[in-house]
This record gives sequence, structure tokens and C-alpha cells, in this order.
Amino acid sequence: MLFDLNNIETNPFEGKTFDVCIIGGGVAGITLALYLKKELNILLLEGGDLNYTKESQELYEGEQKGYTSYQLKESGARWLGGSSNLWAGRCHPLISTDFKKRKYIKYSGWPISKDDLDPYIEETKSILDLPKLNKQEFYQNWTDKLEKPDDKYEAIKFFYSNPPTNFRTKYLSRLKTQKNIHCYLNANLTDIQLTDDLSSVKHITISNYKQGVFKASANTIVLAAGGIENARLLLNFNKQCQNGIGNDTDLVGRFFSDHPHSHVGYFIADDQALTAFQSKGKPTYALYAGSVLVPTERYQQVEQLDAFSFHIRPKNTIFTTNESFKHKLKEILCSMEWSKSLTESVSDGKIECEEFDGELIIMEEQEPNPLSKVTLGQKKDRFGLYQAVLDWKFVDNDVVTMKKSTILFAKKFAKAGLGRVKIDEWLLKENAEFDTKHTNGGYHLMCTTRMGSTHKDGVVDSNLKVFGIDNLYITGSSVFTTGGSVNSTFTIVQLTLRLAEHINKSV
Amino acid sequence: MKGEGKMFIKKTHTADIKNNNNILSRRKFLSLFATLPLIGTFSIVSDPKDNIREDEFILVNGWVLKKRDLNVI
Repeated sequence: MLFDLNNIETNPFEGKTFDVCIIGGGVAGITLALYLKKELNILLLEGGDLNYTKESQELYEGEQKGYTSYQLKESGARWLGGSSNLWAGRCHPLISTDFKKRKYIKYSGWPISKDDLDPYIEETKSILDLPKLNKQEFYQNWTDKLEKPDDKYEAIKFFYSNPPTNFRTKYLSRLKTQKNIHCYLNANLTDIQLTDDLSSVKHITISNYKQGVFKASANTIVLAAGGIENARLLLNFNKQCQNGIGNDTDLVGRFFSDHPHSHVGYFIADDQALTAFQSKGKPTYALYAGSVLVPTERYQQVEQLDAFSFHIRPKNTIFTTNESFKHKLKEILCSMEWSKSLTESVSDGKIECEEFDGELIIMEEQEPNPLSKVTLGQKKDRFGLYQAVLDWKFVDNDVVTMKKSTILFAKKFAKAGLGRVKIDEWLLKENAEFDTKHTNGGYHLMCTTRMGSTHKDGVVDSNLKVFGIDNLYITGSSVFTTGGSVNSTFTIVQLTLRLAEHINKSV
Repeated sequence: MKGEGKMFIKKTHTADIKNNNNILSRRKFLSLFATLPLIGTFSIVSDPKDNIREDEFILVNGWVLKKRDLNVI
């Protein structure tokens, strides 16, 4: 059942205790509401409306320090469906190494393993409308050589939700009709009141945009408000706990991660590959022509690398180009500065010597960094809560991983007879650093309420329950311990299905 | 907005390489190449610690080439 809290004046929650209250009507919140038992009375609170509204979106505003590749106010969609209103649809489960404690990466190691999430793969694929079989194209003499596993790289296949599933449009009718779900729009969580012994949530405070303030109670509360909001809310609720709720060990907001996406180079393809591309033709979706490689566990360990996925993307002209590999090599050689002036002197003007058959992009795990964090600023939002301050920071190994892996890939590519790679100038500099011209975030806001084995290394436990509070859970990418090197939506849904199962068993 | 960020619509260089007037003939280029001190060929390399300068490879303007690629000109 769907309601608009802006149109309600008297407290609709008075005298009721819901079984479960979910804060946030995005991917995680809607998934959880739909997969909890139908006997449970569920309150689902969405801070925005059915569509974009300025008054809701501006609640994401905040201050930014450190690396800035997008504005906080544009970091997500604050209306029903959440980030599924904007996402690109690219999906893959995290890789088994991502969950492991890697001695060379401090703060790595989830308290759960890939095996704990694998049982939810098929249901997640169904929720995200992913095809049963991968649609990646196979090009003889290209895909087989490129994806041939060795001791350093192995191929993975992304699935594409195409068009990307929008949870608002897909599930709106169920939210309207399913009787045990009470979904309120324009309903913002503005406080959490704990019991006197601070061991559980007593009630919550909800505000609409018409100055209406309501109290509600539930046996179980689940925060699913997004990667920055989950932390911001907990930090703000400091009337009973000086540092905010769940923050006894000063971990709420720390370890903020995104996936740096960097353009690292270009390639030209060997003639055999060109023939394969041209005889088979363009795929139905451009990214189906691409390949993705990830480092083997051994390679990561030996070189002490962050996790990353290496995306090799042929461009459209590869299906039609007439230029031979040899010809392109000549072009490259004549592009050298020392030869340019000579060639220009005999050729009436400048020669543009470089033509590429595709691009190379790395999407990388950011090494967990406690100094990369969300804190509270001085400015308050319309509800009197402090806005977030995002201080996004990298460590040296983040860019070193990109550099090492790109150089290694370039040599592998040439040795395999696939063509040649040009590495971007920024990455070849001795002290290469990320810059926003070449490296952007993926809007994957992660790790700010990370999962840990104990309260000393995490905000939530392996069941996503906040340490020290009996009935408060968190779900979404904020609970990731580390970011891995694939897009986060698939894992968010897996974790949420697992949480639904846990709550279903325990209530 | 999500996923790819905004940066990957990067304009690639458009080479007018079909215009043969702008391309040196093999013979002319070879004669120019022969006039250069060979050491210049290898001067554009990255930090040696990156290990690109193995016997098999050279770095030319960011391109990781095989040394034998030089034979094409």
C-alpha cells in the first residue's frame, strides 16, 4: 500500500508496532520489503517522492574535500527506486578473492565468503532482469587469445540489465497492492531513539516536507538509505551516544570507497582480429564486443595489487576499418616527436599519426583507507541534521596497481599477437596520480558502515546487525568491507536477500 | 550518470591517414630514419623500474612495441 506522508496530518503510525521498518526505498529497501515474509507488517519509508523533487534531492548536499569527481548532491537519486533510476545495468558478483584477508592489503577481509552469497545469485539475476546466459560475443583469434587464462589474468563475463531495471517502475504496482507493505513517500528519518540501556531502538522520528513530525515503532529497523546517508544519519543521531549510533569505535563513515574508473590506454588490433570482427559484425549492444580481465589471486599476491577489472573495449570502427596492422604500426612510429618534425618538413603540414581500434579502462578496488571518510559538517539540512562532509582519499597503491597492471597487459597483448597498446601519458609519469580528466568514480558509495568480525573492525556483523544494538540492521553498499572490482548493485541485492532470510528466520 | 562516470566518451584522435599525400613513402621514411642516431629511438622510455625495457619491448610515445616492429619502416 502506497501513501504520501506530505498529505497526512495526524500520525498514521500511532499505537502501531510494525514488525520491520525499512528506511529507504531504493534497490536494497524495496528488495528487502518484497522478500520478507508476507505475514510481517512492514513499514517502508522513502524520503523522496515518486519522481525527482528538488526538496528531496537537495538533502544530499554536503561539503567535499579530497578527491572530487562528482558532486554529493548528484551522487544518487533521492526518490522511489533510488539509484536504480540512474544505473548503467552492469552486473557481476564479487570474486572470491575480494572477500579474503589479503596480508598485503590492510583492513581487507570480509567476515563472510563468496559461498555465503552464492545461493542468492539466481534470485538476484531474476530481480535485476539479467539474461540466463551471457551475451558476450566470441571473436575467433581475438576473444580466445585475449581471454586465455594464464598465471596473471583470467576473464570474467559481466551481465547487463538492458535496459537497466528500474525498481520504481518494476515494483510500483506490488508496493501499491501488497497489503503487508506500508510504503510512505516523502517520509524522512530524522531521529532514532534508543532504549535507556542503549541496547535497542525504541522508536524513530519521521518528518515530511510540510513540517509534520511523526513517531513510529518497529521490532526491527533496517537502514537502507544509501552509502553516504546511512553513515550521515547514524552520526547525526548523537543525543544518547556522543559519537552517534553504532559508532563506539569511531568506524561509522570511515573507509569510504568508490571504484576509480580510469582511462589507461588505447590499442590497435592485429589483422587476424580485424578479420574476425569484420566477418562477424557489430553485436546488438556495444559492450558485448568487449572483454574483461581480472588478476589471479596469485598475481595480486605476488605484486601486492588491489583488485581491479581490466576492460578491453573495441570501438565501432573496428568492424569497418581498412587499415592494416602494419600500416598502423608505421603511423605510430612516425608519430614520435623526433620524427614528426622531419616528416612534416617533407609532407606539407602536420600529420596526425594515431588511430586506435579500442580503449582500455580499469575499474579498481580502492584500498581500504580509514582516512577516506564521511563526517558531519557545520551546515544543517531542512530537518536540522548536519550535512555530510566527504573526504575521499586514495593510497599510493591505488595508482601503482593501475600502472603495473597496464604495463603487464600491454606486454601480454603484444606477446599474444593481438596488437599493440598505447599507455596514457598520465599513467606513465614517474609519480602518477589520479586526476579527474582520466579517473572518475562510479557513483558506487561503499564501506562507510563496513561489515566486520567484531565491533573493533566493523559497524555491522556478518548478519548486517549493528554491533551492540539488538534490532538495528544496515544494508546496501555501505556494509561492504572492501569494494572489489565489479559494480556494486548485484552484491547489494545478494546481501539484502540474505538479510531478508535472516530476519524471516529470527522474527 | 552511474557506472561509467562521465569520462569515457573520450574523443579519439582522428587521423587523416587515408590521405596518401600526408604519408611518407617507405623509401623516403627509411632514408630519414637512417639519418638519426639510433640511440634516439630508445630515448623515449619510462622509468626503468617499470620494467618495460625488456629486450623484447620498447616504449615509443606511450606505445609498448616489440623491437622488431621497427622493421616495418
